[in-house]
Amino acid sequence: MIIRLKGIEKIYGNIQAVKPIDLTIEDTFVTILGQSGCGKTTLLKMLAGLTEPTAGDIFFDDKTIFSKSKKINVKPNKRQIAMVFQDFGLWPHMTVFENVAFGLRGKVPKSERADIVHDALLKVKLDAKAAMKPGELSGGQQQRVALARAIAISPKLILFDEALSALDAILREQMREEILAIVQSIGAQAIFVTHDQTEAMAMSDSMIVMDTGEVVQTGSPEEIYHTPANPFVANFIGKTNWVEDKEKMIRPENVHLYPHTNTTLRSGVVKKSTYEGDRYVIFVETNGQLWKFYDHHPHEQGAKIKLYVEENNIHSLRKQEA
Amino acid sequence: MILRRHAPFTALFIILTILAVAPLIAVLGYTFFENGTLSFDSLLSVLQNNSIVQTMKNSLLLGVYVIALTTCIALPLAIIRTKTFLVKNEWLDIIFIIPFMTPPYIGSMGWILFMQHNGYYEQIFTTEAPFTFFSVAGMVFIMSMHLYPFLYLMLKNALMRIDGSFQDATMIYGGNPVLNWIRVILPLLISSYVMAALLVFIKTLAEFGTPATFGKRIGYDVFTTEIHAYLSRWPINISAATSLSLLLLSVCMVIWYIQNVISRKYTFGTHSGKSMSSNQLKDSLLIRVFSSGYVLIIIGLSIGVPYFSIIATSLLKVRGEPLSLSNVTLSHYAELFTVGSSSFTALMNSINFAFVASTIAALIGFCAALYIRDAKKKSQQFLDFTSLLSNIIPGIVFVVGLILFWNAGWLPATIYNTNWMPIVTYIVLFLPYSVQYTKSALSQLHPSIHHSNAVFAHNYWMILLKVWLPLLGQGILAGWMMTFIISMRELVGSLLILPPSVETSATFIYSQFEQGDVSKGMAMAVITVLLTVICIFLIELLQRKALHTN
Repeated sequence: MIIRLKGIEKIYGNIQAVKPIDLTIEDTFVTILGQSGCGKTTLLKMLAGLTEPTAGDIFFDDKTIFSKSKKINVKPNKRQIAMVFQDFGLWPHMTVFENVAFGLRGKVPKSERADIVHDALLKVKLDAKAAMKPGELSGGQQQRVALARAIAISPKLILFDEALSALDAILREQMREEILAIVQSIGAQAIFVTHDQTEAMAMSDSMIVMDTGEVVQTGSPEEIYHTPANPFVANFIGKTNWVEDKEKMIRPENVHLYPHTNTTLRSGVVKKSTYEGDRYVIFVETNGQLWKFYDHHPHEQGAKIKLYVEENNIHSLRKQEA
Repeated sequence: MILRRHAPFTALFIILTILAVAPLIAVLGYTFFENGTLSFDSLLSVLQNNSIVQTMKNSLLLGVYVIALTTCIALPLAIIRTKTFLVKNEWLDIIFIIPFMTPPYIGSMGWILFMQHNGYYEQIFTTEAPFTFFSVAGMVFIMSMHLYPFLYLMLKNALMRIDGSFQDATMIYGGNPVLNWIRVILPLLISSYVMAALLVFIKTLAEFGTPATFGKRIGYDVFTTEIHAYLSRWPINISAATSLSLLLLSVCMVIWYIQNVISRKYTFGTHSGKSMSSNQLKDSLLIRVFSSGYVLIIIGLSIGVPYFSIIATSLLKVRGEPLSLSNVTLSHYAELFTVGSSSFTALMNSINFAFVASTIAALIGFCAALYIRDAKKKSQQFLDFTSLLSNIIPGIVFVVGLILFWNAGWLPATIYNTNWMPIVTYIVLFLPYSVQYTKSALSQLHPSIHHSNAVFAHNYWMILLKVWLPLLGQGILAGWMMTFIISMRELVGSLLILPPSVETSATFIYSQFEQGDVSKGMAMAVITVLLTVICIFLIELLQRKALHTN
């Protein structure tokens, strides 16, 4: 499904939460990435129909889902979408089974519902807990129920609002994989809203980076990592070494201790080394900038050091703007 | 489309306007407009009246005294309940609610019966009381015994919130425990205290029951009794009543405004992550004896004495004769439950009015709470404000307004002089309860429940039947019961707006106490408080169950 946004914006009182956005989303897994308060959740809620945009149009394929000028606003339950929330949003008084079955009421005859619910719970490996109430389950299990509820209604699009934030680190990584596999298996599209860059890069075909109500860059994770559009994106996604302040940058993995082809020399002083488990990050002061690069062992603080910089991988932010 | 989208708001808006806003406008209009022109004459003439100044002084002084005494009672109680071994005795809080929920006129009747000449005090101690109870001090005492639970609960909750990691931080960084208390706990407590104290002040000003029973005996007139007198004593003086109502309203609004400013400025986020470090408390024997003794004395004075008096009176064959088994009879109760007797009719009237009123209030409250949600939009805030108006505005002002509004000449039809009048009055007066109970049930749910409903539910009916009713049902029922019990024994409205020759249990008790068979009145009072106590326990049970399931 092709999702198109034309001039979508949201104003609360006199605060512009989302500035006018034109965007086309075609990929299967898309993340909207940004810091808290950047308007990413508002954008997602506008897609869901939970928040009404102040202006603009939204199309799902050729169908108008929302249009301010034409006064069209398809209700959330008629948009063929599902949503998974940060705090799960499960109905506490219903069993797991009833929670998952709820979205099917009025759409699927009762006789077929049980099979669908059972299938969905099997996919999230919770078929044994069908009779339990959400309050009796762990956080991870509750999130699986929320996911089962989403896939049960076989939506075209599933929206994830910070869906993994409430889970601990190990569970989060495990769930990433499962979510991708499950969404793929039902042939739906997914849009994830997150503030976690690693999550965004690991989970998506394409990313939408937002800052203070604006979309600042869209593209594949690789594009965004290697050719950030502005200093905000460069700093927000991955580690950055500035060649010239806020104009040219290079990533730490393109800085070496030994010369390669097309490398230039830069000398500096080691400030500190931090251990990351699989490698060390070495902080070096060079030309008044604090740089980072990776090595297998720590370097002594205060030691003079020579760095070889891959010229080809220096990315100019100014060029982008020109 | 715009009309349809705003339909729920418009409907609620119209209902609340007719119920609550129109009466207030009627009070304003009657005071300031004479024959269609703006005039301050009636207000000025009331202000120039000497006795009004005295009445105002009486009311305000009473408020200050009651704040002082309730503080003296409630603060130690709150400390005892949070810092000593009594911290775990949750059931004590239910006991402390009983005096607050006891109709004030019944409480003060109990005290009058106990302390009056030849009363139970003299019978039990076979000597006259060493002090004169029938004075302003006695009135302050009776009112404080009714209002202290309110202050106590607010202070206790504030103290509980301050516990936990605040406490731990103070232990680590602070010095002497007494200084810690003064530097950390007291400043954090003060905003809660001031807010609660101001509410106690408003409640004292708005109180009718005690001034009407006890105050009348000692000749201490306050706003509410004067307004009542202007409307019920010949020559009836409506403009004096509205002017006084307006004065009372203004005082309450000013206090409410101050209270708002304080709460906005000085309320700190005292939720400090982990709550309640339940460190093992080992109190010395002295503290144990003192705190249990204090709790027992307070319960004895606020429940024991008045309840004893009304129960004893309701059981006596001949009043004035000593308390003995030979003088005990159940005949007053038998008469009360005789179908067709005036007392039985009054009781049934009360139950009927209260039932209809609380059911309608629960319905309006449920819709309003669902619409208000987190009160972010202007229209939501407006509805929130109007539905909670009668929390700040004294009941008697609403009653005066309702009388004026429903008597207005231009109305095509009126409910005045019908049984709908008390019902509407009760709805207006007690709507805040049903709104607040539903709102608090709603606030315990995750905010994304609303979104879940929007995305997954097939239609509104399903959300209503499958989500809101089961989830909020207990809260709605608790609000319903609350409205029911307080409507059932409401006094001032009933005295003024009941159609001719219709009585409710409250007016029955009042008239029997003033000039009739006191025992009969007290039998009715016992039934009233019995129903009240049962409802308190049921509400508590419901609230706990609701907390448990969520």
